[in-house]
Amino acid sequence: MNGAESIIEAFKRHKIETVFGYPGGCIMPLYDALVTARDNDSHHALQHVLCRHEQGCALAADGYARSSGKIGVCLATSGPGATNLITGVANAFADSTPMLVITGQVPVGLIGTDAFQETDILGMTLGIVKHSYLISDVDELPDIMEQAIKLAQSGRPGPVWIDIPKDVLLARVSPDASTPAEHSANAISQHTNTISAWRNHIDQARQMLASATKPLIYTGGGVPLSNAESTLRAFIETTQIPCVETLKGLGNSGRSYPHNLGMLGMHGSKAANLAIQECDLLISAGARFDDRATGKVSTFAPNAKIIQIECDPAEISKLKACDVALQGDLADILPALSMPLTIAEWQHACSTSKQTHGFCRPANNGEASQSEAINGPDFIAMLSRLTHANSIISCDVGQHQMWVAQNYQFDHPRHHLSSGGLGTMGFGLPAAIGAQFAMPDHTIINVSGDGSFMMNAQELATIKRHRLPIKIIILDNQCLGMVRQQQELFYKERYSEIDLSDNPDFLKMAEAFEIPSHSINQASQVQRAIEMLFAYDGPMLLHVNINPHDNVWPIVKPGSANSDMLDETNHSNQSEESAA
Amino acid sequence: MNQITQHLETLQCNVENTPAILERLLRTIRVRGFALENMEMKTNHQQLDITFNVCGERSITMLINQLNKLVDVNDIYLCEKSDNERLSA
Ligand SMILES: Cc1ncc(C[n+]2csc(CCOP(=O)(O)OP(=O)(O)O)c2C)c(N)n1
Repeated sequence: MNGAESIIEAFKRHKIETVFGYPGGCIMPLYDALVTARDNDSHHALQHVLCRHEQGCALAADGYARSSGKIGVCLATSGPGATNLITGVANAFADSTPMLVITGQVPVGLIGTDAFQETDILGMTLGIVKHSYLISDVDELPDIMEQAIKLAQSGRPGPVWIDIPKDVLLARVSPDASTPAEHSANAISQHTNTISAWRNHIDQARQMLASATKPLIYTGGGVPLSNAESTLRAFIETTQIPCVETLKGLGNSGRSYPHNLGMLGMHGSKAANLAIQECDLLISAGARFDDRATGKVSTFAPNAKIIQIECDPAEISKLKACDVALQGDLADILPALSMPLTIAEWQHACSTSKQTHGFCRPANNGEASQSEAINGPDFIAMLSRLTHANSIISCDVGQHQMWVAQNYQFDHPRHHLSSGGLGTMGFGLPAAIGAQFAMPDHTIINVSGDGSFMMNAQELATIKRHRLPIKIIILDNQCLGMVRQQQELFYKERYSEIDLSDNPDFLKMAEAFEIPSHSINQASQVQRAIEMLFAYDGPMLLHVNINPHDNVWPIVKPGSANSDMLDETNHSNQSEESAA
Repeated sequence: MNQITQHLETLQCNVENTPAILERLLRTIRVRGFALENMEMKTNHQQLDITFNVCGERSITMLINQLNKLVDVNDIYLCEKSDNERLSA
């Protein structure tokens, strides 16, 4: 067995069945081992998906992992292959996606000689990985594969990168080293063991919860990452506590939970942001006080004591001091904190606020008049009404992403794939591809903008090859809408490089990849167009012309307090001095 | 202008001697808002014992937490002020 074959063995041990990659010189031995695996091993169906750009591979692996909870795997060659992965890996790091990244490297003896396609990828990526390895001895490879797969998925997950010189991939693994040693996991046990520090503080936290009159739970992407969806549902069922969700936490508490006030933050609902200002106890569960969620952090939850439930010790009190830290696994902690609460007055205040300040569009486009232009948020509300419970939405980045977050009623956090931490335009299409491989029975819908779509449009070829039945929706406002909106509001309407009025013909692009498509521009066409998307059982692209001047409301100016929300009526004369 | 208070602190750590361990430590110190004032290092079989003096305005506990997340860091602690003075003398 050579080094490359030992990688395939590790995939087999961990039931890794789908990998996304792109071949090239230094990774060729691994691609050769894929042929051997395909020819010789009928028991392990390892599928390699050739995306059309390494960024597509990394983002597809991310979408695969986010939608399913399994580890995402991507492969690339040295030099440009490896550097092309970087944005996708940074995206996974920012959102704590479990990912294994394997790249070829020039042979050991050539490292440091500026050889053809040599880059110091280990050095370049130190800031965007949970951990990384450069392997110089093939006998280390089986143990390192074991450690890397474990590390990527344990504690706070993240990408782990293994860079392997070509000669190491080709070298024979000595028989003693070929199966990972029992102790291989010990080397990293400090980083993979479950933490139970929370037990020391649980009584104090329970007392705080019992005596709070206006408690609120703020949940984030940590809930799906720790597979705590059902635990959270049980917690809110017992406590009936009002809740707010981050962008990555949407769906955590379910669309029918009456005390769910929706998304907080920069484009959050007024109801959610006001509840944060009002509450006297804030329980943060798998959320990290990101500035897009908190606004000016010193003004966030000003009247509240804070209980922070968090598995990563470095997040505790990082941005906002907490009163009690419960460090450990959410799925263990929430049941221990759970109790019935008597907070009727607060629940009532929250419900009233939700009625007046929540996101609940009527989705009545069906009755719209013939000539009315399509409004982005209304379109999404209609999409939400017409989709099936098992639909997964992947978004790109911009106004359309926020309209989805505000108007699509998510019932499960893994049904919403959105690039939160990095805000990567071009995420949506490859993430949809990854999700379709992971969840073949689900309907995967990519909601994109005309700017973002072009960032990874080459992946239409991957959809074509595999006949993936992905529904692509482009909300075309002929501009980089989110940037346009901020220039309008915070830069005195001095528009700079946001015009996309010469967009390509998206229908012809779809046609080139044998994807049927159509275009709409009137509100009265929306319902039928969405129904057609779902009636067709293959891939389809829907091009939706929307008004270039539509904005996302409310908006909190970057760097301002969440209580200073702007909407259509109060947004004039904002300048950008302190925007961030 | 606001008065900025900088603290000089001493950290002692034991790490695995793996590729890029020093870069990992140093970039964490830089990115998390600290400047390195002094560093001493000894190899100890497969491991390194390192003492740093770092200076910054942010909380040193936050830096220690971030350094502790590095997989190759076995052990890290903050030295008492008296050690600080000795090391920076
Ligand atoms: C790779 C990348 N480059 C630049 C940006 C900055 N950016 C954020 S939103 C946006 C505009 C997105 O335009 P579009 O995809 O058309 O969506 P819209 O806002 O119009 O809905 C830009 C340029 C980004 N987030 N990602």
